[in-house]
Amino acid sequence: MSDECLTIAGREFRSRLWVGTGKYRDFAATREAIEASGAEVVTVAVRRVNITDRNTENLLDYLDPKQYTILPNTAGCYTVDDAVRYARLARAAGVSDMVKLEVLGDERTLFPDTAGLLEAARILIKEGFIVLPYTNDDPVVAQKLVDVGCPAVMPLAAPIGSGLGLRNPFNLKIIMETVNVPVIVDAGVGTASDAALVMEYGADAVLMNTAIAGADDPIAMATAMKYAVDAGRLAYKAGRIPRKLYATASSPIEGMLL
Amino acid sequence: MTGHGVIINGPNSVRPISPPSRIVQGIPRMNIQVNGAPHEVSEGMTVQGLLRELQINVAQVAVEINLEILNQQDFDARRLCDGDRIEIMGFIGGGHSVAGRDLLA
Repeated sequence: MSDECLTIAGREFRSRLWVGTGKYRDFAATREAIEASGAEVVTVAVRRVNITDRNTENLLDYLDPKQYTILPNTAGCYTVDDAVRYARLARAAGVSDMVKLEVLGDERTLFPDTAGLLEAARILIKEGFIVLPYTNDDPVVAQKLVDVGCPAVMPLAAPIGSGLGLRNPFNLKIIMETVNVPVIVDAGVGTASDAALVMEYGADAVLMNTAIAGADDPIAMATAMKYAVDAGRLAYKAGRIPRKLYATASSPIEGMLL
Repeated sequence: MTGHGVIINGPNSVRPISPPSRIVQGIPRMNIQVNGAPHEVSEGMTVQGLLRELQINVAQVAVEINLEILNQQDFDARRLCDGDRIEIMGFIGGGHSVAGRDLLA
């Protein structure tokens, strides 16, 4: 049902819904929800391997790398050094040279530290990484990230996990109009209408985790999100009518009884 | 202050106990640190050997020794040294920033 592919750094993606793999009950539940979402890009975090419990399962055993693009992130990193270290570890683990770069600036809001983000992006791009930066809804920062070589930008809709939906559609719209790379709206979506709205505004894709994983029925919500993203994209492509204050009749006056 | 795992040498000097090197089946043992916890291995142990001993699938993990990230193809040749601090990192579920559990120190 989706239209043309989304291309990032020469890689083509059919689904415009990207999903995270955190907060699920278990790996089987993760896999079922992701299947229902139709997503091709799934994000994962880099953490210490559990060496005391040898029976721990591996998330990647549940996600076929032929079916999914595994996108490691630097979630939880508050400094440039940490983010760069985690990105290098992710690449060394042999999954991808793409990284969803997070450099956080504040624990309560999880808003990005955009100065640190730019610096880390610069370092990693020099090392050959494909850097997809989680950034604020700041058009100037978005352009700077493009200038240092990011092949897409990932501005937030609202704070991570907040479910508040699109808080600043006008800044998002400015970012979409000014940068010449795909805009993937990342974080803050609460329900299907939020995802549809983001896509109607012209986002190239939307990334979410909590909205699906935290729903009472993650599989149903994943399905709803798939339709919402497709519907929003179609509406964007179709071109909406302008908003007007007063009514315009849609039935002709001609032929009415006198 | 007293407690498990510390000995007191004086009023202000508290240091962790470093167990003396042991010899097991004729092979001296080394004390290393793996993912933040003390660990004992045989002298001459390679990274590959450590991963095998820990029953960790070599694919899809990254290994860092004293902040140096190794290439996977070097796991077999790289021998561990006494006192090495080793981090074995893999992938877990995550979308955005998650709780700090199992983050690197």
